[in-house]
Amino acid sequence: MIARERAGLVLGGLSGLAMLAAIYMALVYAPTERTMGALQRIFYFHVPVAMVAFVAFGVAFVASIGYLVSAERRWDGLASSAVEIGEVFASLVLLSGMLWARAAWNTWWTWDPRLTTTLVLWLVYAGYLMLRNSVEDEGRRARYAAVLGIVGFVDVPVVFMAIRWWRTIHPVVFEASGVNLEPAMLTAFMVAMVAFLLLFATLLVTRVGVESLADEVEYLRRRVQ
Amino acid sequence: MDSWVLLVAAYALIWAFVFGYVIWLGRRQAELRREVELLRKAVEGEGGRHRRDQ
Repeated sequence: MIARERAGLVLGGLSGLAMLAAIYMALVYAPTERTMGALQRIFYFHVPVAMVAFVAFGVAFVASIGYLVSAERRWDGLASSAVEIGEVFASLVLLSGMLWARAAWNTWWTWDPRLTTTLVLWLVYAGYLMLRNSVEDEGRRARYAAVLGIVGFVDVPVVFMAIRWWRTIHPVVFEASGVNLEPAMLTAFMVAMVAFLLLFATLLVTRVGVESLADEVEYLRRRVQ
Repeated sequence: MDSWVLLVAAYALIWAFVFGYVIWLGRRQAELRREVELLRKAVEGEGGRHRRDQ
């Protein structure tokens, strides 16, 4: 068993355990919020999922710079893997947010700055994945994708700051003055955050492994021909 | 709509998506492993034939 596979298994086991703890903390340990009731518990997964999407796009940003500087294939593989996982998490942010909005705002969607910039982020990285599928030449594909991976990341701080820069109806939990959460709620949130970061690490290690297997297939095909 | 229904829907959605992605990733990995094995055998076969021809 190669080191990457072993790391994937260890991380997978850890993230599974952490996720069970996170579910318990979110649904049982954390107290029920007075205004929103049970629905507020979406927060314990909605926010960590959003944070992990930001981390994934951050990894893609760094890897894209790495590729443009070194032209090494492994950076491109890391960037594309991180974007794919980031896009899965960004989709979950939008969908879980819509379910929350339906109960809290009585609408599935509103063009609030936070929601709009998140949708733009999702579209930018959907474009990144489409670009990768549409360019045949390996070198050009990696270069174009790296540029988009860097430019697209500009939207991440905009999404984060949207609720601070513009008038918004989106709740603000983390402020410069402190965190607007009960200590038990903060603990539940931190456990969920760790669980989702471990899940991201597991998925990234596995996805990068898939990428290097695809490279090996490509190399062996060329040798056979 | 009842807030518990929406809460359960949100959690179910998150898990369905994550499991779906993990299953897709696992299948792709298994598929590529099989292909690598087949191609390695083909390359070894080519190499053996090449040596015999020499």
